[in-house]
Amino acid sequence: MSKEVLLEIKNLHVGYKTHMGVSHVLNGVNLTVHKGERVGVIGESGSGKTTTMKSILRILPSNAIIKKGEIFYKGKNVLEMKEDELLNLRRKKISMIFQDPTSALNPLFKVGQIMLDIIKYSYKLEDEEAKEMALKALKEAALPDPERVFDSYPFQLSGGMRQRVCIALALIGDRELIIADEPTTNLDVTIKAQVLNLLTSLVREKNVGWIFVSQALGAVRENVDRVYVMYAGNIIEWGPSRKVFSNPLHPYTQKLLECVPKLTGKEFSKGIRGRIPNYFKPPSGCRFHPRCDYVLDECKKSVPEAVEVEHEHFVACNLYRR
Amino acid sequence: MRAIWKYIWKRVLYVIPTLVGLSILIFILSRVLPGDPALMAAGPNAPKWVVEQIRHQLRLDKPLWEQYYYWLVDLFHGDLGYSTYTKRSVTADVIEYLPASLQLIFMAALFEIGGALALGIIAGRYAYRLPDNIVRVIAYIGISVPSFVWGLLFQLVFASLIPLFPTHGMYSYGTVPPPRVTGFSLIDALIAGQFDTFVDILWHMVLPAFALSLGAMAQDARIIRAGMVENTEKEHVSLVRAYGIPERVIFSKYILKPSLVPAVTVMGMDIASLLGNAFMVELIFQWPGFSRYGINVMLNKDINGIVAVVLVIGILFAIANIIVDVVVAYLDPRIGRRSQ
Ligand SMILES: Nc1ncnc2c1ncn2[C@@H]1O[C@H](COP(=O)(O)OP(=O)(O)OP(=O)(O)O)[C@@H](O)[C@H]1O
Ligand SMILES: [Mg+2]
Repeated sequence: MSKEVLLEIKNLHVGYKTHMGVSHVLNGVNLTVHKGERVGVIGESGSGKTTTMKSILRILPSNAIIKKGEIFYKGKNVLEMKEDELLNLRRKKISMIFQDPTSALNPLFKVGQIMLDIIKYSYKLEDEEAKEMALKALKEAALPDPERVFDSYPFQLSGGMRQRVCIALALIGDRELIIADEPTTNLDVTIKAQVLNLLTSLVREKNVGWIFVSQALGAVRENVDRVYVMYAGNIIEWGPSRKVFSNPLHPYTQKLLECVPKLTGKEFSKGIRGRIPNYFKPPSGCRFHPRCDYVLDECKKSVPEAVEVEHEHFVACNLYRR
Repeated sequence: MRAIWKYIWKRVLYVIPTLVGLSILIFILSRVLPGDPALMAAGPNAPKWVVEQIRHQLRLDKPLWEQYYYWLVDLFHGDLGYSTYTKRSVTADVIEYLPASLQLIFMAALFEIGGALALGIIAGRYAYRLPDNIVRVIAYIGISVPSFVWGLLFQLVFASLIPLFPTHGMYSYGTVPPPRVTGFSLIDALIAGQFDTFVDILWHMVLPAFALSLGAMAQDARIIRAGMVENTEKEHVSLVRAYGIPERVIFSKYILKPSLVPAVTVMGMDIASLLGNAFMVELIFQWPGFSRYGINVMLNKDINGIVAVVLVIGILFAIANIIVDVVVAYLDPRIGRRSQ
């Protein structure tokens, strides 16, 4: 794995304006992806994973406000890109697979219509060539009858097939980074494994940069090089996947890993007491402190700095401050 | 294509029982409501035998089911019965008055659709910004002010104070109406090659049609706008944006199309109800249409006229319904296919 940096998110703060006020969701997210690297992002529901991913392509909901931070793609700040640079990024460089394939495909358009539009605007091709490209992508996504899928409306396809269509979209052209935002969460249990295998083998085969957002910790552990743990809008721990999973440092990570039901174990996991904080009035200091068993005084005061505890394994927790 | 014809055919079949039901309902209502139609037709001073004769002529001396049966038989011969108000066949009345109204409604519908699309799309495109707020104010006024008030206002402002349009009627003074062929004066004018007359009629239609269209236009603009605002936040819009489709295409294709589906339904019904709403407007602009006829038959308790008027409105709704269903099925593939 080369060490050339592809994507670097620095101190990203994103909030949402709502009728109840502003919810301060992302609270200084830092995340790096190297060329060809597979990066996992884990964290419970509502921790801001999708918000982070959508920020990268600047496709946040219209009520989102990016308050602070930078997102560098190959050294250029995405947040300051002009229209044509941004379009180029979306068309050629980064692709994204959405959390729910059903809501991600416009129900009133055939799969082929959407694909052709995407290809035509990205590559300025004639219909014939564009269609060929689309069919090739559908075939790559292991869809059994690409011609038929191309000519179908999303409602005529099963959930698994819809997500394969979305994977096909992400495969069009030679991408440098594919973001998969919980690609299997909304699929039937029986389909999950198939789609996940497809995705991981494609990523391996193409040697493309990959951000794999998931709550399926086992799948993340097996399929990524490095992993980031997210809690309430902060990355609280990151490092090589092996190290983080075998030696979790942050009290939150420890609890999160405990939550995985161990098929061999006799006892049920205890879960984490409390719940993810209210983003309208987030806790001061470390956002995990109200739920933490080891809370110190300083945890309530300021956001802890990241510490490199072992080689390339970082944690943002006061327990590890020297 | 074949599928769509099958779909239309099915919708038509569905409509028939509805219309039969409506005809029975209005038939009974027109006969059981207080007021003796025969007496009203004969006048207060008529001798009793005249009243009885009219009663017999209207078959009011027969049981209700028998009246309905003969009414149906007559209907199949194109006869809607005798009008005690115009003293001739109701069929002739419908043929005489309906085309003028339909013509007016057609123009109002064009205004309605065009205006609603334009206002709705502008408001949706610039949601929560100045254009949206302006459209919102226009829409509130449009919805809350009844069409006859618009009629009076337009007449005052655009016909009297600033004489841009004629104040009333269908033809200017001195214009010779075209020979009656279809009853639609616009079409008849074209058939007769009287292009000046054609323009003259159009000119007379602008104010009443516009007054008539405003309420529905405002309402439908709001619906389109709401749809666009809702769809803008949909995940499928994020997806096409994520893949670099230009904003203008996203807006005019991936946001607009799903926003039109609910609007089409309401639009269709709004247009169908224009016939009912047209009465006051027709009265103000002295438009020789069906709505005026409609109110007169009701005031005179002309039972055959009442039944015919209600049925015509019902048929118009049915047609609007079918058109709406077809357009919606065309826009939304899930609808046409599911029912097969
Ligand atoms: N458009 C929005 N307006 C207001 N709040 C929002 C909006 N989108 C997301 N949020 C809030 O931001 C927080 C983070 O949401 P996000 O979708 O990023 O979480 P997530 O980690 O992806 O969760 P999940 O695992 O459920 O997908 C949540 O509390 C959510 O309610
Ligand atoms: Mg999410």
